[in-house]
Amino acid sequence: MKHSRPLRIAILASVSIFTGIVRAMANDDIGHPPPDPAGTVYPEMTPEFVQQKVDEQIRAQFEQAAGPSAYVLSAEQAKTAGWGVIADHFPEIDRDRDGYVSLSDIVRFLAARTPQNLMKAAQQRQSQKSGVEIIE
Amino acid sequence: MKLRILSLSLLAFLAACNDKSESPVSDSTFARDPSTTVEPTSHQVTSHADMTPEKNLAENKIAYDFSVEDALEPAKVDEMPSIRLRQAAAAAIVEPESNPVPPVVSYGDIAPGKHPVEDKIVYDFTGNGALELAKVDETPSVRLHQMVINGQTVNFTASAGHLIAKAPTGRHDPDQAAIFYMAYTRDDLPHENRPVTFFWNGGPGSSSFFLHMGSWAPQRLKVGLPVISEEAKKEKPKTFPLVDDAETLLDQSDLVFVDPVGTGFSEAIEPHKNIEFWGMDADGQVLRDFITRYINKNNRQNSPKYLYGESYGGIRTPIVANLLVQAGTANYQPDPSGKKPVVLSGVILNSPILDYETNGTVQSGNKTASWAGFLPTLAMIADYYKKGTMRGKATVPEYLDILRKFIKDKYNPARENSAVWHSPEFLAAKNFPFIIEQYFSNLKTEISNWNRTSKDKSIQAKAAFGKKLAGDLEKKLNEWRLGRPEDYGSFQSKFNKDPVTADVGKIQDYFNKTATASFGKRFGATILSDTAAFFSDMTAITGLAIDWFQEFELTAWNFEKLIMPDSTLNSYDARINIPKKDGKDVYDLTFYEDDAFKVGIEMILRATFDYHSKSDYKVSNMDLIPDKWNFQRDAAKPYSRSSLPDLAEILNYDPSIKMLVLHGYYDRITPFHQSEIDLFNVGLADRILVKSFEGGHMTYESEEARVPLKQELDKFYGTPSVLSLQ
Repeated sequence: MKHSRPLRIAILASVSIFTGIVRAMANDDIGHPPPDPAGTVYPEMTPEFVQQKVDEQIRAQFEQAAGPSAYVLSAEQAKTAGWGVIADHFPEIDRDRDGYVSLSDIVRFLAARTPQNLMKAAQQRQSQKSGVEIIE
Repeated sequence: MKLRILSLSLLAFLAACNDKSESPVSDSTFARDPSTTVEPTSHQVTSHADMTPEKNLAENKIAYDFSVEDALEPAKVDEMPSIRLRQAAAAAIVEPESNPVPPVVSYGDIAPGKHPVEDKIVYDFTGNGALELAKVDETPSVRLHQMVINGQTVNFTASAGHLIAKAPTGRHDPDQAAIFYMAYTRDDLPHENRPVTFFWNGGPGSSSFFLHMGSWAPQRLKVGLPVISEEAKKEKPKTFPLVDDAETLLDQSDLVFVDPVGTGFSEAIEPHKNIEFWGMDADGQVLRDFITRYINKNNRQNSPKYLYGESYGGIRTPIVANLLVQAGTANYQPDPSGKKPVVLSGVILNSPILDYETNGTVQSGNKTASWAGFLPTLAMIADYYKKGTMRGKATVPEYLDILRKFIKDKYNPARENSAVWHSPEFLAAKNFPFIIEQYFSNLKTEISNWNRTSKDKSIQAKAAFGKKLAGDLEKKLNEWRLGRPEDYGSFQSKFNKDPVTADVGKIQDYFNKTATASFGKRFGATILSDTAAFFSDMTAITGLAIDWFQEFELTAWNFEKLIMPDSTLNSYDARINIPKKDGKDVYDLTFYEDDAFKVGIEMILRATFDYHSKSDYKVSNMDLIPDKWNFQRDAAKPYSRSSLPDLAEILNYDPSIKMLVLHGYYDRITPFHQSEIDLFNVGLADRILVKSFEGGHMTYESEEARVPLKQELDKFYGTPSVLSLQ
């Protein structure tokens, strides 16, 4: 223990060396996140990863709104949970008009609205108007 | 105070005189009589309080008087010029069927009445800041104005004040924060067709003053980049000319400049504290709740809505947009008009950071991130200073394509396919010069504080620590076999004997001379089969004939030291440069414009908004907020340092939302190609366009960028939603 003081100074100085380097590099003024703990693995941002996270978020939102063990959700529940986008589109999602939607109903509704699908639908509408057949 | 403000007005006036002859930008969007352009004023926006009919006839000659007394004059609505409102706007006015002529009413009949505000609250911008709810008054200041946009006389309302960001129902203590905003609205236009755009800057810790004073408000401070005056090369500018904004976005949208908690005059409401809102998610939620409050209070449920964020706004804006989209209309109050509500129409990101892990400047811990995203920016800077040779006669778009191809075909493979690039040894070696430099620097500091004869224990402790540093340094030198062992080997023994005479500087010089050769010898044989050609290209692109073995992956900060060693370059726009004096920076160029912008925002608060606060407007709280900021997302979101999943999620919920990313070529903080790479990597490159311009981080401060930027914004606002959901 008698060496505790020099050791503490050494640790502090080591930290100061590190932060000195960081500051020397940080010649800007945008907020810098603190270093992550050693061993932190950063997910690679890919379309698949992002879509997976989107799916997880939707599932989490559903469970939060409906309750973890519930399989269906009402418009009122969605609105109360702040998931207004589902309440706003409830009539379109609730295809059987029973006042409740499942997670798969929501996923199906959102999937149909992806840009690719909408683009395809728009092209089909256009082709019907113009009489041009789109061959895929 | 009046004297100070009048002096500032005079400065702005004089600056405007100079500005006339220098301006490279046409004023053609303003209906100015050529004969009046010689008048020594650029303040064409007129406030109605000053506007008699006679004055109105000569409106081009009216200048702002920034005196407080004037700003506090009672409203003179009866002196306002009458205008014939657009018929569609006068929804509240019932016209007799027998009379087809629209009634003649004044803007003042539609807009709220003039209302000055004396704000006596002393705001607390620390982490503990917490206002009493009873002190929050949501009544804004109001002042009515008139300007000419594209030849058309336009009336508008400037209002400033606080709104309470109220958490959705069911939360404890729902009154979270009093958020300050400054808004420019055209109250004579029907809400359902009139967009409203919410602006914020980044930091985190900045108010919205950069965007407010520099970008698209009815008036702006003309920074005039890339030109800087001779005076500004000696001293940081204290003022810029306040000019009518020929490119104001007011023709497209109402504009609301928003200050996040702890900036501007925004503060948490008890029992909440400011610090609760200094985090990625909490900040987004409180801004979402502010917007909801603004929409409800101003009956904007059916207006198209846009968000415009800058810098850290690249993280903040997608988070807010995602929260807004998910909330839908759940928190909207009933709209008396019965029109269809609009939740969100578009998102504009100006110089955004989209992912902290991929941005080499600010990466939080991933030290292996590629600097590929920076290379085109460095190339453009080298080209600007006529150092690079790669461009030849190519146009800028052609050159950028060449650079993108080089990165794709050569730079990335060199980095990704070479074992050397990925070797832990080399990654460590890249950081090694910095580490060694710090060792030497610390040793020199220690030595300068030593007293060899002192018996003081603290001095002795320092000596012991210094000797340990010397030992560690020797180990590092030995580990990397840099220099000759007989040179570094004797270093510690000399140092232990007498640190003052060990001549650390001499050792460091020797290290610097030998390090380059050692790096080359160590890695040269294995790096690439066409190493020479690759390095030759790198030199042609960057203008730096350096040893690429040592630099290898050029960082933005090393680039600055090498490209213009005798000048200080601005990080946000590298075209701003000031020759060093005696080898030192004349002043800190980081925020070249912030002193003048602070003066400007205080001026318009009083003169344009009639808002008079006891507190100084907190333009920046970046000394405090970034260190306190919670850079983590909610537990369910492990991608804490990126807003890319939020962008994808927004489009998943509503693919019709328009998105646009704007950048400047010379910005070394958030380089344009990094956004291109980030969006490409998640499959959004085709969906979210990146447009870059002749400018820097605050792209709109660059005179030649303003018209092309505004044209891009006009196109963006004028385009219907990407895919109609109807």
